[in-house]
Amino acid sequence: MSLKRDTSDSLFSRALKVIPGGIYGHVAPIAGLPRHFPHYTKSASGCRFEDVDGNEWLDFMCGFGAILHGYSNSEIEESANEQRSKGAVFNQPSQIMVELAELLTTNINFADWSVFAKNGSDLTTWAIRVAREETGRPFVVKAKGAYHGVDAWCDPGFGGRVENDRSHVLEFSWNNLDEFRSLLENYRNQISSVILTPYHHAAFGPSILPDHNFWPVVEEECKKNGIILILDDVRAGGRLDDCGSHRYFDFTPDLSVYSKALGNGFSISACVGKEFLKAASKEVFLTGSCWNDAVAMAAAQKSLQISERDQVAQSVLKKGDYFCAGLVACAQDLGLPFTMTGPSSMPYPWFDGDDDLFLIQKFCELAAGKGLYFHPHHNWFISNAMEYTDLDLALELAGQAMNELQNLN
Amino acid sequence: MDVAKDRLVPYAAALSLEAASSEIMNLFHVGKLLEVTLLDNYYIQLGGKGLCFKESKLLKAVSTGFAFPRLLPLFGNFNNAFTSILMLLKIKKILSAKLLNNQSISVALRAGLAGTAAFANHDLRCKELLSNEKEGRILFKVSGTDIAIWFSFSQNDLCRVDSGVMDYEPTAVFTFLSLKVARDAISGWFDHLGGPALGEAKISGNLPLLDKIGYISRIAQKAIPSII
Repeated sequence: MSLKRDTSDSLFSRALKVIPGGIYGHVAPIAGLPRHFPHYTKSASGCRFEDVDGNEWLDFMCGFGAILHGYSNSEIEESANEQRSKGAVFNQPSQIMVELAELLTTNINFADWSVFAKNGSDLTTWAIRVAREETGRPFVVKAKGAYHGVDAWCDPGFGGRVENDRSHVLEFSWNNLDEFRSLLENYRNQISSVILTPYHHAAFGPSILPDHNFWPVVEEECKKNGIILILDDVRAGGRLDDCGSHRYFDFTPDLSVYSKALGNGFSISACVGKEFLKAASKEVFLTGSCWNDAVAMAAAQKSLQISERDQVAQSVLKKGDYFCAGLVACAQDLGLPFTMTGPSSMPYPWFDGDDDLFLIQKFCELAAGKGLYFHPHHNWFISNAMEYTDLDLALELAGQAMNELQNLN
Repeated sequence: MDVAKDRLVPYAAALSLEAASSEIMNLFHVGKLLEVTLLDNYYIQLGGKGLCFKESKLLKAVSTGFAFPRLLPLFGNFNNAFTSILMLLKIKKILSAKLLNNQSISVALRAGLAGTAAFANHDLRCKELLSNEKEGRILFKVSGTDIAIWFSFSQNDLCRVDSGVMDYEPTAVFTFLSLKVARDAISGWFDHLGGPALGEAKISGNLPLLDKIGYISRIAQKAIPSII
């Protein structure tokens, strides 16, 4: 089935004249399915969105993770609107900033303080600087292929870099503790921080959960070597545990960064930390003209309250379990070597042997023709607005797509 | 083989000519392969002894369509030089033709990708980009034609460009919608972000690898002068 896309294409052609590449970054059409996904969205509610050509989509990307409670969640919108009626950005922060910091430090078991910005990158980069300030050491360790933001030390692009941008970044393969230990040994007393996501959720490849001894060893080695352990919980935060993904995997970082689901679509990020890093954090400059945006903070406050009240992380994991099991069973019935990798609330679909991605691309193309927004190169997201009837519908349509895929092969 | 930084651009331009000659031989079964040899003192030889250019002159030749070769080797190996010059003229005629056809795009695409391969093999920044890649076989096609140009590499081998039907599967496929779009891409007028979004090209397969090769091709395209 071919969807209408005249308005999408027309807008995109206009965009090309005034915006480099038309649309850039992770939402650039070439990162997905350029002729099967719409380029622009008109509106969204719950777990569905309507594109500018009037096509309705059952969404499994949730604004690339930013939407946890569903699009246009009424409670969050109400809180945001209430704050908006008073104003958003002022000369000084508003009361809600203090309340939000109190809420985060209450909810997150190791957190003694919190700061706020707008994007994950703002604070992953700031966090490694805090670690440098605290330790006086230059190097940061990360996992190969892990995404931590758009800054030059870690962005996945190629352009605009100089050699020095990454001269203090060391990498090891996820779960390879020998490599990890060897880096720590070779750069003894020179490593300020280890920054990791709670599990390995790189794009263009299956997600990898931590081995049973991964986090205990990482945590222990960091402690032993005076290295600050930074958790980049920007993508997973709120979808594995309402109070931080470190609890899901049972470890304790020194700093943790959140964004995406924190504001349920309102632009906000937060970094929380242990008491001993408070002094260093005061020495590393942090600001942005609109970073004290009270509307986004009101949305985040309400979003966190809903998560706690409704045990949203557990709920999306349960819904994810149901959906992933259904999809895998459907594939098995057809003899397709399909698995869902990573946690079920943000699963990454994978056909065994499909290293060059042709099969997953075709499957997502076929699914798109049925109104399912399945991304071929990025983990999917379950939102709590999805009802089991939505998941059943998605499974039925996905089953049809798999059947068509099977017939093509 | 190491190529000095200041010789890479003329070397890449020469390899583009070699690739163009190879494609012309494939298509028309005539002519001579302009095999590239780097000589001392910034000279470069095409098609064996006879046709030899100062590298700066070669760059002038590929950007304007004409430059004087060295005369001494030319007269010393006149017949060989003459057949090489005939091939150069044939390349010029095909690449500067206004009329689009399968043959001209095939020659131009292969020549352009050979320049990309030269940068992928010898430019430090480009080599670094591919250093973690084990192997790759990118197929460039033009919709509705039988044009098939392959850009391939493996861990033990340099990047190379071939054409035609191969007995292996591609790791990524880049399909231009039409000869015109392909021509625009070769000329540097194709928006690599916008084009696929508007359906001017279709991409599939290993996109991260395609992304890297695309970036290298833009670096090469910016550096290598062209008659197109």
